Amino acid sequence: MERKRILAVNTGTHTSKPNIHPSIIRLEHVGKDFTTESGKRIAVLDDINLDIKTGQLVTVVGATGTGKTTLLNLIASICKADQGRITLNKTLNICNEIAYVFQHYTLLPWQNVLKNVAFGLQLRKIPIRQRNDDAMKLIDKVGLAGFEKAYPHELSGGMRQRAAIAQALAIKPKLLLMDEPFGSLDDTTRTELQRMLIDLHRQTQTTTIFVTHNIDEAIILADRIVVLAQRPAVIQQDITIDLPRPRNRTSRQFTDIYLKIRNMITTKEVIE
Amino acid sequence: MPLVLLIAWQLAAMRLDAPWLLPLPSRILEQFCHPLRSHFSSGSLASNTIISLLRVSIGFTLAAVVGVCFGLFAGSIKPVRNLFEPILEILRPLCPIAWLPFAIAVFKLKTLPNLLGIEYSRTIFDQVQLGMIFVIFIGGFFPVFINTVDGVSGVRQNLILLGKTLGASKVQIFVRIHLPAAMPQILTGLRQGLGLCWFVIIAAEMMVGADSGIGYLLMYAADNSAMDVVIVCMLIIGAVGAAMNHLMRRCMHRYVSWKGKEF
Repeated sequence: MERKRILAVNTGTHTSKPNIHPSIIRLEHVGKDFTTESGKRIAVLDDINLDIKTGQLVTVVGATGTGKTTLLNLIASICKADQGRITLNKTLNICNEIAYVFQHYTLLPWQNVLKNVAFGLQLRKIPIRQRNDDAMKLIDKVGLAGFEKAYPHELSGGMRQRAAIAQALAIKPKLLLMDEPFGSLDDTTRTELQRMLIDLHRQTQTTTIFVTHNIDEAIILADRIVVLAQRPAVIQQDITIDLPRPRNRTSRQFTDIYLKIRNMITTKEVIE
Repeated sequence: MPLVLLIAWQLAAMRLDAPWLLPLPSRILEQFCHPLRSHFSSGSLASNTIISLLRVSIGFTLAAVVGVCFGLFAGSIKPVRNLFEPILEILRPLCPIAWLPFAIAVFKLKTLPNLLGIEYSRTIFDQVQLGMIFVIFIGGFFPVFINTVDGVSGVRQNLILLGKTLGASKVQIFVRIHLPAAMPQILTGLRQGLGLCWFVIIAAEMMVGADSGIGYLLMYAADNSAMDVVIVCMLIIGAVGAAMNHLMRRCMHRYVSWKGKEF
């Protein structure tokens, strides 16, 4: 009982879901090195302990070059950890239920939006009519209705990322990884897409790990923020955000958290 | 501009008054109007052009099929690529025409029907010598092969990761990502290859031992000081080359219009 209560406090209380969430992925003492051209080994990630609960929207924030992308790649098993252990929930099928949205080049340039969104379903050999229906629903959801025949190069940056999100969600992932997906968008588009992502998350309850260097974005989106310090990246702080949504960027609590995170990231930089 | 050139030509030809050196443009036009007239009992403009085209289409088809297949194979499997690279690097800069004596020595004057066990088929295929086909094949193979390898091996890493994270198997990644991503470069290779094949066949037909083809007619006419026929042949060769290039470009525009517009 005691443990359960602690867990409940940790995961925040803003959602009205049951508080005992099974963890979907757990990282224990995970480390990753990489070797420079001169042969020097540099630790990119060091002793990372992380327990992601089902349904959470977790943002990972840190300065550029802190190994945020590496963390996602480890989780997606694109690369292997040098130390430690990554445990996936038994129900999670690594090659079928983890979707990844990149910052760039995340659509097939030779196919239109519809085919791009349906791509994951096509790989699963789902009949064309059904996959097109599913894809159309998602295209509608991300606000691209009417653009399903357009090619990626005909879309704006924001629309491309909308399509990319639809493409990722089409396979109904249990875990959605996003690597600075809004990194190259202008402020207005970014805000719009953040709002859309929050909506989609509320509807689908897909566990999401969202990497960004934008502190503001991290707070707006997150149920929980993981702050990475710089080289070697250790987890500096793990903050549960339970501000009510929609969040007000100018509210006192918001700015307090903002400043706290900013100080954490910048002090470390000065020392470096 | 073409009109100015034509007038200059006309004036120069009139002044020079030496048709074996510079015939009048009207002579050229007149030759064009009679494409079926036989020259020096070596066949007509049309028949020789068709013979050359037939040789190229057979040789190029062979080069395209082998080049693309072999290129896909080598491009997707690194050890294979490393194995063949040194050999190909030596053979590639070699002018295809340099292969001609070797090809003639190996294939003698065997033709396509001979290969099928027919002595003499009394069709145009009797003019398709295996040696010629071999040289065209060599000319077309390298651009097709090299571009295919580059296209397949140079696919953006992100797209491959995308496929992997969306659950694609190895075969699916090859068919759905490598192949379409490499398509523009494969088509570029085919375009270059076809152009080179046309170059090579003309040169090969001008060599000793040839007895037909537009290149042969050009050479034979030159030996007979029939400069008008020579110039007509040149114009035909140029026009056919340009038409081939245009066709391939249209093809690229139609099938890989996304190329160069990625974000």
